Amino acid sequence: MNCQDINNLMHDYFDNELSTEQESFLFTHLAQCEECKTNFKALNRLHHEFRKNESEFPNQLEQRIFNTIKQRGRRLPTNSPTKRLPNYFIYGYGLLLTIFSVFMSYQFYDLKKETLNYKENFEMTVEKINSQQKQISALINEMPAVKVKASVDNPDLLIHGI
Amino acid sequence: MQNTEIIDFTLIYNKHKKTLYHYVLKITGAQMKAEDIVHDVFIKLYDNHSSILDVTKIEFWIFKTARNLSLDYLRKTKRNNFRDVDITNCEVVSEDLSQTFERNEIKEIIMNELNNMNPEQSEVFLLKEYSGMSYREIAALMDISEELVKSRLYKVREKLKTAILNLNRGEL
Repeated sequence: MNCQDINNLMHDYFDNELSTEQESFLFTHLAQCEECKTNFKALNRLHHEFRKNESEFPNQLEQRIFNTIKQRGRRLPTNSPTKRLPNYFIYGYGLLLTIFSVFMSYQFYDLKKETLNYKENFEMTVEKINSQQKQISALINEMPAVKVKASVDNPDLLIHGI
Repeated sequence: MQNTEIIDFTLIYNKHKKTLYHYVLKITGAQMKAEDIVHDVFIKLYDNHSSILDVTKIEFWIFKTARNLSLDYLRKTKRNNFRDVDITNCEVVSEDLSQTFERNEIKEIIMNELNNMNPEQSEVFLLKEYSGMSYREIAALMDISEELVKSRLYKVREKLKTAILNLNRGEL
């Protein structure tokens, strides 16, 4: 492995992409090669200086984020399933429910009307039957009484002595 | 949001807030806009936290969202990369004056080099430094090959390394 290969390993090292075995190989070489050691120090300096002394996260931004979250927390629970549905879907669903409700109301009204008519017809028919029954009874009662005189003149019966 | 989700969100927020802010700040080069973008990213995360099923991908999600918002901003303002990154946006810590001077000098050189590079190259470097994501994750985020990520990172680091060596040769 030459110094160019070692240089590649250095880059991988600072990218946290180096295996333990490669890492020990790299440091063994660095202990022996001054040029590579200088390059390594420069890369190390870059790695550490780049983000050193960076300012902290701005307080006013943190406050702003928390305020927004606080307001959202009051308005809407984030795990609500409706939150993930698009508005037009919710409106469409509402409209469908309304149409279905109106349709069912009409259906129920028709059914009720039909039931009432049937009940009325049934009562009228029963009444009619009752009145006819009364008329038949009256007719039977009005008929004159008949005296029935029994006489046996059948020769067959007489033969058998009945 | 459930209590456990709030705890998860807080942990993710505390872990990434600083790195995300500085990443966006370097990409956009505008503090106010960077703050807006970071605010929007965390609010989106809060809103969608329960729908992000793979928690190991949250870091990826955060940086991807931040990158998209930053690029949208750059497109709208017709800028093609980060510029005028303020190196004074650093905290002054008590240390030797010569050390502070040297450190600022190195930082200035790094930022100048980054600003003069192709934005596609410098962006890979920024993503790597701030997110710590793997080559594979950065490749997926930027929609390029893993080899290209590695090659761009190598070129950026070599340029920056050379600049540092030129500045401070012999003192390292």
